[in-house]
Amino acid sequence: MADSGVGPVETQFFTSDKSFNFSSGGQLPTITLAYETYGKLNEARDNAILVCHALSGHQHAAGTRIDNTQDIGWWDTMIGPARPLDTDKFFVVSTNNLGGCHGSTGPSSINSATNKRFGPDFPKVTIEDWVEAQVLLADHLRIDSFAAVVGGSIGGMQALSWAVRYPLRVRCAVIIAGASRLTTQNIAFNEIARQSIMRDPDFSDGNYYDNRKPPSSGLAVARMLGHVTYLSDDHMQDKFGRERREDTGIFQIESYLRHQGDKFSQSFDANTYLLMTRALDAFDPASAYDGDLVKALSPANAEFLIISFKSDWRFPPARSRELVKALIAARKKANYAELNARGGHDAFLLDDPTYHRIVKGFLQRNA
Amino acid sequence: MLSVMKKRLHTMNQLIAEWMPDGSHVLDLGCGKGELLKLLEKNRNVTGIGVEISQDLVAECIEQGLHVIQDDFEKGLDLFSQDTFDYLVLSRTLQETRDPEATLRHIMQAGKRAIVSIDNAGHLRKRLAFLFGSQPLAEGSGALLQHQITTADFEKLCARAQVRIVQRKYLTKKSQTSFPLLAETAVYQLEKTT
Repeated sequence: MADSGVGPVETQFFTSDKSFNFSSGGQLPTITLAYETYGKLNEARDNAILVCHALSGHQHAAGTRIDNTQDIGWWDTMIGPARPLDTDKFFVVSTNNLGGCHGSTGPSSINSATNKRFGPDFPKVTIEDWVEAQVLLADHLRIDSFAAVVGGSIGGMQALSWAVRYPLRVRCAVIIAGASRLTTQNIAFNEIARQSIMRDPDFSDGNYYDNRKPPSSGLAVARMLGHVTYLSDDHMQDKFGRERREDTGIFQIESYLRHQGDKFSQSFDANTYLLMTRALDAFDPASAYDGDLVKALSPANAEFLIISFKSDWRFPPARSRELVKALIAARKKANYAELNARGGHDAFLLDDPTYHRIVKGFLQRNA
Repeated sequence: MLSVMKKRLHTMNQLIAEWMPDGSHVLDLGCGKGELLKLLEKNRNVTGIGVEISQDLVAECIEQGLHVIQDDFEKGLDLFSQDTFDYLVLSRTLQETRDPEATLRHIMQAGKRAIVSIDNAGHLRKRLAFLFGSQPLAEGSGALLQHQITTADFEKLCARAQVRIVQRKYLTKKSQTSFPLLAETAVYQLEKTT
């Protein structure tokens, strides 16, 4: 990679020295979070930005892996020297969420009480649990307050949760292609994905780790469905049209989806997918305030940047506008951009120039 | 030419800043690059929110550290319906809206007072130009304007929209004038009557 940004990066691990209480009531004696950092923490320890990943994301957000120079982080265009999350100025921290399958404690980890993998017995996680786990890491890194907490999609919801739960530890919150809660339709898509996994004969009620194979076909179909909803109609049309592959004669889109589904099912844990989508469905900070989002947001102290994409139909601008409206009503400092980028929900991962300019400008001025 | 325009804009922004009470909560509709908002924040200590439809101008505002919301305010001010503003500002934007009267009506629902400026289509030079066959064009870009509004038109518009004119100032290229015929720009302070 000629412009690999931050260059080779090694994943680090933080293990808590005390027990972790899940908001669902579950408890683990200790948890581990896999994380990466880019840039340097300054002496005042006040230039840290926390990145929250989306549903299928992980800690490897930028640079390449030490052991694999082809494996570029999922937000590499966003993070690096002179990039929007400018590592010349900021110290960027990226974690794998609790319950994940990329090194953080999750269903595929060994339960020390049984010496077996947790599987379906892993405690139910919420976005609030992810925040609490990250708080432990922040304490460990001696970061009192983040210059910004940034995330797209479910990661944006996590950034919102941070801003509300820890007003004094978040100076800026950047919420991209997010929402304050999912719509019925969005939950419905998640349920189809879950059913696809759970109805796979290899699922074995989540106890598949010692089986011949995991429920990879169910997971692959779940991923394919996700992919379709993350792209816009136009973008798909442009990218694949009605072209067919020369070798097999199938449509390019079929080939693409099968490839994406298979690739994903080989690198992701089905139980984690179930856990994460349920956390996403359940998130609703207003529910503790009789549905009053304005009240729910009132503790926040951060300067907000909300971004949506007009071509995104999974987390459409209307959802971001609800959040913006509530922030304005709560007299929070809110900024909002509704961008023309055509990539659909996945536009948050792409490098539309105006999108990057806005994130960069916002962080340079406010973080 | 451009510097004259800039200077006049500056004069107009200074006037709006003079009218604005310190510490006001302001909504600047069609804030563009945010020059006025910046001035108001600096000189009048206002808490201001800009509204702009163009994503490029939104980016410029954010780069300057201004608060900006990308929205088409002609479709309504729903995003701001639970906030109350001391002043709404509509600076040289009205003639570019699809329906100036409707715009005036619905912006006055979001706040009690407003400051509105228009480029006066009734300026003597523009009248003469029209006599010779060409209508006034947008400054700078030279594009056709959505609407040609004279000071007289605007006052009628206010009456129809049940908005009271508290104060009016006419600006020439360099200073103020009491003659609408010589006014390049007119600035009004408005108040809801109902």
